[in-house]
This record gives sequence, structure tokens and C-alpha cells, in this order.
Amino acid sequence: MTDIANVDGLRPLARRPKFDWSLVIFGLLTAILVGLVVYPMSRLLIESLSDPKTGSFTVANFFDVARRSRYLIAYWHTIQLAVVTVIMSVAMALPMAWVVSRTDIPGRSIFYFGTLGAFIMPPFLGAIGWILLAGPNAGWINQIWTSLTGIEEPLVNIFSLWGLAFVIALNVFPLIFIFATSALDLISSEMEEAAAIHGAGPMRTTWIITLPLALPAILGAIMLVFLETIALYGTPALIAIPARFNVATTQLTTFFEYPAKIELAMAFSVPLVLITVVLLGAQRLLLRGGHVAVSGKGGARTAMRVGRWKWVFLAHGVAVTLLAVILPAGILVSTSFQVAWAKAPVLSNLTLDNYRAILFEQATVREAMFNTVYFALASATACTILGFLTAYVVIRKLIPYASALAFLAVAPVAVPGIVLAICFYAAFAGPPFSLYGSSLIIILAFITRFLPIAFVSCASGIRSLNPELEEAVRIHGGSRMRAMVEVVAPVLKKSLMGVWILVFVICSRELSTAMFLTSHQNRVISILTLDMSEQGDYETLAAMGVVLLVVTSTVVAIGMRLLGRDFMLRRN
Amino acid sequence: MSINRRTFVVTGLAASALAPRLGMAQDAIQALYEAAKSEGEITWYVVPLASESAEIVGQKFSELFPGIKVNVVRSTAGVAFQRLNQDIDSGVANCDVLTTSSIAHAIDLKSRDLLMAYTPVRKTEVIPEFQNLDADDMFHVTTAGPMCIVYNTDEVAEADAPKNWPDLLDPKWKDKVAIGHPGFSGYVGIWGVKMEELYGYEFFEKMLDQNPYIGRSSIDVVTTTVSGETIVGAGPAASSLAAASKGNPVANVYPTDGTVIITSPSGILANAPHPNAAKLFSEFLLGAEFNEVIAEQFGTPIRAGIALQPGVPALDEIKVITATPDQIVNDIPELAEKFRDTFGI
Repeated sequence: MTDIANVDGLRPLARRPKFDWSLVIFGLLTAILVGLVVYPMSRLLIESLSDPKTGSFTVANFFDVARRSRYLIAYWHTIQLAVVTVIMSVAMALPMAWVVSRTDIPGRSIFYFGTLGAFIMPPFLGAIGWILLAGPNAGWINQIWTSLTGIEEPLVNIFSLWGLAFVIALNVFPLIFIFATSALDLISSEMEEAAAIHGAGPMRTTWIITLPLALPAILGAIMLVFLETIALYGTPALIAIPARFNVATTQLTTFFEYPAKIELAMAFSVPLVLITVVLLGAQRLLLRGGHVAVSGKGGARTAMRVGRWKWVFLAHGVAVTLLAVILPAGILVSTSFQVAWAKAPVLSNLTLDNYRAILFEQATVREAMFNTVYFALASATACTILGFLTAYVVIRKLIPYASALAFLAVAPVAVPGIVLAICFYAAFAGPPFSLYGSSLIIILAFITRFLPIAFVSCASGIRSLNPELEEAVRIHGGSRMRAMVEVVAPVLKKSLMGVWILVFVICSRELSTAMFLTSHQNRVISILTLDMSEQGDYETLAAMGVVLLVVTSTVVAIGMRLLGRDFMLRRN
Repeated sequence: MSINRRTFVVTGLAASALAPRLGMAQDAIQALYEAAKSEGEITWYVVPLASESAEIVGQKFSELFPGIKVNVVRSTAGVAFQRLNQDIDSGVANCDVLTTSSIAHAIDLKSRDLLMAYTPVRKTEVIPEFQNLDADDMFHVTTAGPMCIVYNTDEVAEADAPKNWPDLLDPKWKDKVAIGHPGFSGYVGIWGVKMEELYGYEFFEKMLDQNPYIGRSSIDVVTTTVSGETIVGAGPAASSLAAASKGNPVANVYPTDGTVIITSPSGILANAPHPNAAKLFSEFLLGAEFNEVIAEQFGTPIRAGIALQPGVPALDEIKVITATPDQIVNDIPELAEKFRDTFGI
């Protein structure tokens, strides 16, 4: 991250600018990062090691957590869930990535559509879609199965470990797809051709040459999927409770029942953070090793001819797209127009009432929709600015110890959203800040949570920029600030817009970060969905979900129009 | 829907004796309204109504008292109490009036001096059994919700439907029973302690063998029964009658061993940001208009003389059981903990 030589300040400048206010701004930036990252996260350590009554040092909280078998089982379930999810998402993503990157199979561009759609679909909506599809008795798939075969036993049961893992996998497989395609794109065909010359068929070549070369990147993506899964709250809340499968995040929420045991919640969260830190460290090591094997730019790549197998792969990609996007979105749309969700969508069962209710009658829903858009706009804007400023300071080494800022900006990655919410609750909810229930606390939490994404994307943009342009401004007496606002930002316009849209989309559906910070005035759609799902009012929920999907898809479509097709899928 | 209306009349309330007092009550309420106008809104944390019904109640209040908006915050009892306590711990005053299905929560708030004493002028207008819940007038019964057996009429013939609570444990319902979670739902907590009192904790151990669907709210039971996801369960009578009125295949059985009546109290928070609107809202919750809305939503009014929807039994027509405040305060937390251990969630 700091490999560009610092040229600033080494050459004598023709005209020294007057007092450089930029320095004040950069100082302020440091203060903001400390306030948003260091302060809340320090509460994790402090609260987990404090006696809730006396405030004195104790490790009793950790013993309290370790003594209850239900708490430990929750961890064990979480690990089982993450392993199954990883296996399922690899099975979904890897063949698709290989097809897109290495073969000549026709129609493979639909795979991009499937991946993008799966990425846009908020996890809790996917979960509701799948409850409607695969509920053991009333789900559509099982109803059709029973009517076709006469067998009463359900074909699929969403309320199980397998069902839960499947729904999560449908949501996280794009991560593996993105990492695998970018690694596969870098492998030259030469080695594959060598294998072919020695008599290996396409399948064997892929198995012994291509996949091993891409393995580090794939393993890295697997770790991200593992981390996403252990930190997820929305899908487990909807599916794991009826499945009676307690996982770490559903267990965490029970610590907030009155009397709230923040200290236990904190102690229970510490292993989650540790797992995350260890896996992220391992992932960095792996990806570093990966560069050697893949050796930067590959030579010429020729698409592999897969012959008859192509139909199998095409069918696989279409099936994943169907399962991840088309079926759940379709069932949400159809449910949103129904009077009773479990009945066939015949004319007498169709209505516009659900939309009328959410758009015009239920003030709560309207407010939540407004909040969702408002918080996403504010967070995306602030996050992009903060990420850009920090990246600029870090890459151009504008203040001493700039790399420490880089560490601060990426540190929130190591904290699962639900844990971050608990930290923010402990840090800002009560006096002296008393931000509980305000819009500000949610926006601040969103900014912190997604700062790493903004920072890393901006940093790679700035790194690609030659400092000469900025130096020209400086030589002519312009300040750093001026160089940044009038030169760097305009040049990087597209990538900044890409960051903004990405953060907007993920903020619009974020659930776990908002969990414990929500009171009635700052509810967002994701929280309201969870509240309303307690009553199982799926028709209204589906209508809300459709509105949310329309909003996010519109933003993404505008982004694609402005920035090219794959801006959402690029990852650094 | 006006056909077959029956009127639920309770003796002991002589209309003639009431008339002069009604006039006085009107004056007091008008005075409250004048004082509340400048406050402009009221935030209501509500549990025992579905969010749709709660929104209708809020709109009704604003119709009666223009210029005062109701912010409806509906959740299960556990979540409402958790959020309220987060408010309190953070020093944020959000909630004006709390209506919860768990008296334990009201008693707990009272013990921490967090409720405002208020004697509504309409206090004596409700059915005597529902008066004087709290000696210090910190909270008052505002809704009475029956928990009964619900079943899916497409899947279960009326004759085969469970007649009493232990019938839910019949192996023929295995994989097809729904219940709520006492850790989330106040209704289920009260229902649960009554089951434990009547049949011992074995009731839940046997329930485990049924592999039940466990929702969070008791209302979820009605939804899964309507959908056919489950076909019998323990749910709130009003929600299932409301669903049936829309043409859904669901019906109620009022069990022979007792329909559990859940009386939900409402109280004003001591630090309510809109105290006059809160008092006005408390009067409204005891008034005829609110009870009419409840009755229209297939609920059981707590005032006499309100017409019931068809299918809603008067409380003196069925066997009812209720939990004592002591059971609710002491036994529910213990039951919820045991329940979590038994069902693993």
C-alpha cells in the first residue's frame, strides 16, 4: 500500500503556499477515524473484561460464556453452518467462474447476470423468498412435489441446517465467483496446452493444471464466505429459529433481552472477532503466494472447447441463476400481489392492497423506506469522501505515520456487523453522546462498517495516478486540498462513483449493523422486515421487498450505464 | 358483516347512573386534548395487536383528536421491552405509552419508578373484572386477548380438531403443530405458564417429540396455520378470526380446559416526552372508540355494550383461565429459560 516513493517535500518549491489548511483537515481526519474505529472497538475489550456492576477488571464474563452449553452449541452450529455454506457456494460458483473465464460455452454472459442479481438481492429477502418456496408443507416446491407424486413427505425443508446453508450460499457465491474469475483470467493457456499435448483432456487439464493455479485466490474467497456466514444475522433469524438451530448471531441477540447483558455479549463476540482476524491474516498470506504462481499477466489465452459437456455447464449456471435470483424474486413479486400467500395466484387471490397499505396507509413503512434511502445516501457519500481522503493521505504520505491511518481504515473488516453494532451501542448510545435511536448513530455505524471497501477501492485508484499532476498544482501555489478537489477527484470520478454506488447498495440492505441501534425513529426496511416477519405477514413484506429491489436495481442500472457492466463485480 | 351481530352485555352497569359522569369525563378529556395539541404526537410501543390493527388504532386516534399523530411501534413483548430498556439505559425518552402483553414488564417498570401514576377518568367505565389491576394506577388493563387452538380447515375436519390443549400432543399432529416462543412473545409466555401449571413441564417435553414449528410471535402461528405449513397450533383467537374473514382456511377451537385470556396493561412512562397526549391516549384506550376498533378486528372489547364480530365468543360463554401477576412475574422467565434449553433456541 505504501510502495510509491514520496516525492513531495523533497524538491524545493517555487512558491511556498501560505498556511496549508489541508493539514488541519488531515488532522481532523485522523481524529474522526480514531473516534469511529478505535473508540467503539476498544469498548469490546473493556466491557468484556469488566464486571458490569463494579466496573473492575474480571475475566468472569468469559467463564460465564464458556460454562453454558447452549452458548457453546451456538458456536458449534455456526461453524457447521459456515462449512456447509462454503461447500455449497463453491459448488455453485466455481464451475460458473471457470466457464466464464476459460471456455467458449455460448450464453455464458447470463452467468454475470445471475451473479450480479444474487449480489443485489438482500439476504433477508432471499430468505423470505425461500421460505415461501421451500417451507416443508406449504412451500411451493413441496406443494408441487406432493401434487405430482402424491408423496406427503416434503422434498425440501428450508427449516434445517441444509436449508439455511443453501439460502446463505445463494447469497454469498458471488464472492467466490469474482475471486475465481479474476484469478483464472490471469492464467496463461500455455500450461494448459502443454497438458493437452501430453494427452490430457479438457477436464483433466482443468483439474490438474488450471484449478491448482487458481487455488490460492479461491481459498481466499472461501475464507471470506466463511466470515460472511458466521457474521450473518438476518437469514438465521428468519430460518434458524423455526429450524431450532441456534447460531452465534441469534444467541448474541438474546443477551440484549432485559436485563441486557452487554458484558456477556461482548465476551461472546470476542471469539468471532478472533476467528475473523486469523482468517483474514491467512487470506492475505495465501493471496500473496498466489501472485507467484499466476505470475501477473498471463500469455495469450485461448478459450477451451468443452464439447458435449457444455450443456451440463450451461445448465448448471442457469440453475444457479434460477435458484439465486429468478425464483426468489419471482415469488416475492407474485406474493406481493396476493391476498393469501399460500394459495395459488388466481384472480380472486390477486390484489393491489399490499402496495396500497405500505405506500399510503402504514406510516411506519413509509418512514422506514425514507430512512433506508436517506441513510444509504448519507452513508455512501460520507464513506466515499472519508475513504478518498484517507486513501489520499496514506498513498501520498501527507502526515507522519500515514500507514497507521491505513490500518485504522481497514480495521472494521475484522469486526462482524452485529459485533460492530454492539460496540457502537456501548460507545455512543448512552451519555455523553446519547445517540441511541437517532439517524446519526446508524449513519456513523454504516460509514465505519463500509469504510474499508471505500478506502481500498480509492487507494487503488489513487495509486494508479501519477503524482505529477498534483505537483503541478502545488508548484503554482495551490494547496493540497485544491490539488485533491480539482485534480485528483475529477480524474478518479468514475471509480469514486463506483465506490459510492457499491456502498449505497450494501447500506440499503444492511441489517446486522443497525440491529441494536434501532429505536422507532430510525428504523430501516431491513429492521422493519424482521419485526414484521415475527407475525409472518409475508404479503406485506414481499411488497416492501419489491419496492426495495426496484430502488436498488435502478441505482445499479444507472451505475452500469455510467460505469460499464462489471463495476459492481470488481473487487480489490 | 352486520348480520348476526350479537351484543355483549354485562350486568351491573346501569346506564342511568353513568350519564352524569360521562359529561364530566367529556370535559376532562377535552381539557387533556387542549393541553396535548401543542405536543402534536405520541409514541406508542404496542404488543398485543398486529401491526396492521395497531396502525388502524393510531389513525382512529388522530381522527378523533386531529393534530395529534401516533407513532406506532409494534413488536413482540420481549423486543418491545428490550428496546424500551435500551432507551432508558441510554437516557433517551422515546416512548410515551407502553401497551404490553406481559404484566411482568409493567410491574418491573413500576418497581424502578419509571411509570407515571395516572387515574383515567374512564377507569370505571370498563368491565369490573378489568379494573384496578394496579393499586397505584400506574397501569391499567386495555386489551384482553384470548389464546385458543387454531386449525387449518382444509386439512382438518371440525370433528377431528383438537378439543383441549393436550390434544395438541397427539402423535397424529407430529411435524404439523405450531407454537410461539415464550422468550419473544408475552402471549406465549402466559399460555406457557398455564400449560405448565395444568400439565407440568412434561407438556413441553412431549411437545418436543411433536417437532413443532416455533415462531417468534404467537401471531406467526396463525400465519403458518393459514398457509398449511402447520395445521394445528396455539394462537391468538382474534388474528385467526380476522384471517378467516378474508377467506383463509382457519378456525378456532375454544379448548374445554380453558381459553387463556391475556390481559395486556398500558402505562405512561414517567419521562414521557408528550405527557398530556399520553394521558389522552390512555383515556382513548379505555374508551368506546378504541374498543369498537378492537371488536371490528375480531378482538374482545373490555367495555360492555360493544357489538362483537360473528364468531367472537363473549367471555362468559366459554371457559376461560388467566394467569396471576405472580405467575407472570416469577414463572415466565424460568419457563422461557427451560424452553430454550428444551428446544435449543
